[in-house]
Amino acid sequence: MVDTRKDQNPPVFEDNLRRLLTAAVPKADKRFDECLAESVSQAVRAERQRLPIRRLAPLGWAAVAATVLVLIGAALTWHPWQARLETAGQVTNLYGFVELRDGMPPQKVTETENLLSGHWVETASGSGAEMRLWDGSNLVAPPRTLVQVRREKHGARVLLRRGSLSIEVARQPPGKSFTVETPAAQVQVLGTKLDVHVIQKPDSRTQTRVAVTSGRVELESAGQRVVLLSNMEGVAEEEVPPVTRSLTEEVNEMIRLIELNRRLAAESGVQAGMPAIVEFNADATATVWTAVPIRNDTKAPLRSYSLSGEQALPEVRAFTAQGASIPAAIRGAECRIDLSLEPLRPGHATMLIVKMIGVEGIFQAKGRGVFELGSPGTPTRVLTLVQFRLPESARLEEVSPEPIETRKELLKLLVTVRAHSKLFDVLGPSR
Amino acid sequence: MSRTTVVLSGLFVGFLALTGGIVTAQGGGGGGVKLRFSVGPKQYTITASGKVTDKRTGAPIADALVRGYVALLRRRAPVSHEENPYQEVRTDATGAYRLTFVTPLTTSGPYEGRDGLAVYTSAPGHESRAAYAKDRVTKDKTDFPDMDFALGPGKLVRGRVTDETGGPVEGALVRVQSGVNGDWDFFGAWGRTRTNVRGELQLRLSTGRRMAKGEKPWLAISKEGYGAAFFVSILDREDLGTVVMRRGGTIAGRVVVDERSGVPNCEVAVRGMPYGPLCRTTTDADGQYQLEGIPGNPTIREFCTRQYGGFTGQRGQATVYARLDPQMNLAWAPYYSIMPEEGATVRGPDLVVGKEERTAKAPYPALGEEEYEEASVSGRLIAGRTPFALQGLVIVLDYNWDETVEADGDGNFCLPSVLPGKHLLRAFLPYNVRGDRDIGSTEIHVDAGRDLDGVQIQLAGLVETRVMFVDANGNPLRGITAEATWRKRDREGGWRQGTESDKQGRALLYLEPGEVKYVRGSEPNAFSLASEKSEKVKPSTGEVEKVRIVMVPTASIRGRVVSEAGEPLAERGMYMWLNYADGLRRIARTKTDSVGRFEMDGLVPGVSELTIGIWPHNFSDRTIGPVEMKPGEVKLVGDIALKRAKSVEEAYAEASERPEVIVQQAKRLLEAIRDADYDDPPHWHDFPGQPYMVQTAYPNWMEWVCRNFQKNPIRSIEVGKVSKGNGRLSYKITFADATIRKGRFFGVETGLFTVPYNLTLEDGTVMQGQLAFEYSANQEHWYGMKGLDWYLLDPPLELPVAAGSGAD
Repeated sequence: MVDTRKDQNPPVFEDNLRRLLTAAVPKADKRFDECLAESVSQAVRAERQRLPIRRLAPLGWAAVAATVLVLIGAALTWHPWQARLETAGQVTNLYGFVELRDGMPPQKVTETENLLSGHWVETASGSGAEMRLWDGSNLVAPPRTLVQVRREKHGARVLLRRGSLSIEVARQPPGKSFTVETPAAQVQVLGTKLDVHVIQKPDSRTQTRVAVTSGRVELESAGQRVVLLSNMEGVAEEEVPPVTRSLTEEVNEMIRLIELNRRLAAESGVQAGMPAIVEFNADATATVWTAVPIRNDTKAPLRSYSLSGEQALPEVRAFTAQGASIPAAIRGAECRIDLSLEPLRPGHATMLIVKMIGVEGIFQAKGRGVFELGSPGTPTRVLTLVQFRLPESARLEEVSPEPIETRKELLKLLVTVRAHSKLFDVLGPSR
Repeated sequence: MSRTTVVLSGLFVGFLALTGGIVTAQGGGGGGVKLRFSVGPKQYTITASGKVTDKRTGAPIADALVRGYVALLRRRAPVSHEENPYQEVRTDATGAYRLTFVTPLTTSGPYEGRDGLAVYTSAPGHESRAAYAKDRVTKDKTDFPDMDFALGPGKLVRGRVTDETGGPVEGALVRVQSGVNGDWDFFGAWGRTRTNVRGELQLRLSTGRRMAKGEKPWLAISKEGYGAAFFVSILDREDLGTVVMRRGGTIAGRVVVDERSGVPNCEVAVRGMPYGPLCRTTTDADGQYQLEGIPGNPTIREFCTRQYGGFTGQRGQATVYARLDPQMNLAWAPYYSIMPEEGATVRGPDLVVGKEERTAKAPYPALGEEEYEEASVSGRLIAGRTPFALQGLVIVLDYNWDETVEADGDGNFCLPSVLPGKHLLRAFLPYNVRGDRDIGSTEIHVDAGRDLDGVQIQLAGLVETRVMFVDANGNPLRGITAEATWRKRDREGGWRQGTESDKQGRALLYLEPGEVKYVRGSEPNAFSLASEKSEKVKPSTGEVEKVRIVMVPTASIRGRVVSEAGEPLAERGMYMWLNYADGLRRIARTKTDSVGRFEMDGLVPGVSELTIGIWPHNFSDRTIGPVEMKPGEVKLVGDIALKRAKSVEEAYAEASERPEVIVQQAKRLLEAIRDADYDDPPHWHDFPGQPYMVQTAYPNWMEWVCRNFQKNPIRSIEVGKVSKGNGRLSYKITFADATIRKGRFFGVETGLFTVPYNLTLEDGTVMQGQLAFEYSANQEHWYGMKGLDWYLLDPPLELPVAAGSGAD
């Protein structure tokens, strides 16, 4: 039952074989039996993985025994017995010391090397490896990472025991998926770019952090699953359901302000407005973050949404209420926000967080390093939180209303005030 | 598709502007918001504390006067002392005191981190003493405890001050000056008092070492609006007798704006040695001013003759400054110097304040001023869209780090005195300016004596890069400084510094969009953690970059260096080059002990080749490895046996017999230049792969080579016969149109092996020259020096663009 057919890539295969045998046989004087046994059992494990579970069960130990016998024979007669270990990919690039553990004593990878399913790859300090898997996905392992790649029926299964991985997952054919397993969590990926980090917390718990650059990822821990989209991070701990946040701190702050705004308004019995973050730029323009509530009154899922001003809008970035980044394109006075990744269902409402870069006229330079922002405003029964982000060295000469929070971080002075005024008049939605 | 028109109203004026209507802010009434802030230098709180005790009894002295100031080097002469942060307190019953200053510090430019702190104490019946903080006042060192004083009785001196009629001069300020610290004694470090109603003064002089080190101390007595008098030789006797304070002279003059119209309400101040700042006034409606009671001759002449044994006429002049902005550093203010005549009025020349209030002259006239008449250069930084303030950005004149100024909150800057000619103004972020790249620059041309206004420096819109520092386990790390370098290979050399990470491990860096940078972290004062890997980033406009950097404990290497015979190389200087697998390069130095053992700490963990050499270089370097140094590991490398090396003399003797060694090296060097990747200047460190030593800065040479040979590549190389050089390296460039340019490069030592070369370029230009060679014993090779320094030619040499070279 053992197929001794050569791999599709004979020279690589031959090379690989020669390397494996020279590594195993000359050292075999002492530990030949041990190495051989390891190789064989490794081959058996790979074989078991390859076989569909339902088929393996009835074949049971008879098949395994047969494999062992044939493999021993193959190894002793220099037969290419490795053909049974499926190629899961290739180490395409490396620096420093990278070791391959394939059941035999670990060996240093010294050049472009084939990676068989079930092999562990370990990078030493100051070393790194890049691997291309058979399905076209790419893995980059930084120093001190231990990872195993398994080629399975349902797609690639990557075990990240220690360290981090930057992963670019190729689009998966129907029925296949790409899975990353860490000690604390499982990550399901469908064609995307992401980073996975395994963290040993001071209390010795293991944490998994998944940062998504593009696409869609599902993170599971403690039996619960969350969806991560581009620009989101998921944090999973052993026996704790995953939590998500945005990779953009201002978006997280906006989410916090929206909640705080709501609570404060409820406490005072007034309507809650949409909070804003107003950041001062060196050119006296502002970067403004705000939230725009949207509702789908149509009967079809809402796949895009448009914001417009009477004049051209500045540069705009858009985020979902969960902190995912979504495409926004300016066309004249209109900014079209693409919701197709998560269309808004009919009758539902949500909020978009919008970042406007380089808004002019908010701060007025008064000379001698003094800047002012002010509006007469008419008192309304709306409470709106506004957070100013000023240079850390800014001296506040006048703030009204009185700030409810002032703090310094990352070279900025953050001042939050509660305004009794509405930031937006939202006209629409209209067709 | 659904659509929302967002009409922004109510809160933000700016948003209204977006929809077409521009509304002026009207204050914070109603439900609106009002915010007013100023951007100035960052303020630090500096504290100094200690105890004042009696030197003889050790008992605390209560109610002693403690005065102190922070000497800010960002504010240089002549106003620094009066404008430095100053505090006065009295000791409590236990003799304890605490001074607190809230002030900006010098956190950029050449004087960065060099501010000082001085504390003076005095108490009745005790000497006055001064103490200077041992450490510099920096952003990291702001608390100065235990500045204790034990006051002795000192030396009592007394005297009396009268006017010309013999009447007592009451309330005159008396200060001990010694010339040790120049004007630093303004505060009366060694003693300060006022005359009483009978014109009497009494002081206890410190007899400490510092005092005695100075010139003969004297008492400077001044009374604003009246005049000045001096006691000299004050250590000689106890009773100084009587000194007559003559009524000073008057200085009159006018402040004008365009040489015609007078400027009203302009501050005019006068100061001078040896009496310091004296008084200030403001101009009347016509721009006229009058300063009265200014000491002059004969008092000054008498003082100088007695104190210094002669009078030159320069010393003792009064300097009169005018400034519209009382915050302006007097160093930038227009001024003149004049010698007043006591009892008479002298009229000074018009003081011209400029359009930008900034037409300054050099405070100290340069030698040969007529020949090199300087001018001021002022202008403004034009900000890119970056979330920081312009305040504190550093503007550097050419490559001279002593000629720097800071921009104010509006981005204005002024260099008070610039020599005529072509200059480059470069703007830098306030941190780590020396190794960094500018973030904007402009070329200017200054005409002799003609102030240049309105210079604009466009700054790059930098991208905020947020760096997350974590330890080997992935947990956030505090106190790590973010850095970025643009050098690909070794990630050494020029770099930009960011902030230190906070509790959540976050730090900030501002980087140029579209450019590749390598981000890492450093622990500036402790070498216990290092970035295991630099992260490559290429920030893009409008985004916030995020980088995660793992910091791991550094590694150590221990071993022994021995000769081939196994004898330890003891007590030798030793160095180790680390050539890491990921391209990082480092060099570490130490000394071997009495049995040749060495230990190198603080090494970046990783996989590296180690090249070990010793000093002096009579042994060859030896490379071992690569070895893996795990985080926190002490790696034992055992005995490293070094081979005895060829000495410089032996190398010269060999090359005299076999000059082809030199010819080969010249060929290799020129070929390396020809074959270099001109698109990849980050390879500067070891490009061209063959050693060459330039006259000044390697990157500048590199830049010239890349720029010029890219547009006009080297087609052929010819190398001539080796000769012993005469110390002159000439060059001749024959352009394709037969024009010739020739001259000589900076001198080299005579007697070096010298090789003539001919480079023919794509367009037919022929570059002829000579290249000198020296031998490096430790690296055991010949390296070229000078002779290829085309980048230094004045006027600058630019090669013509060869057709089809693909360059623009």
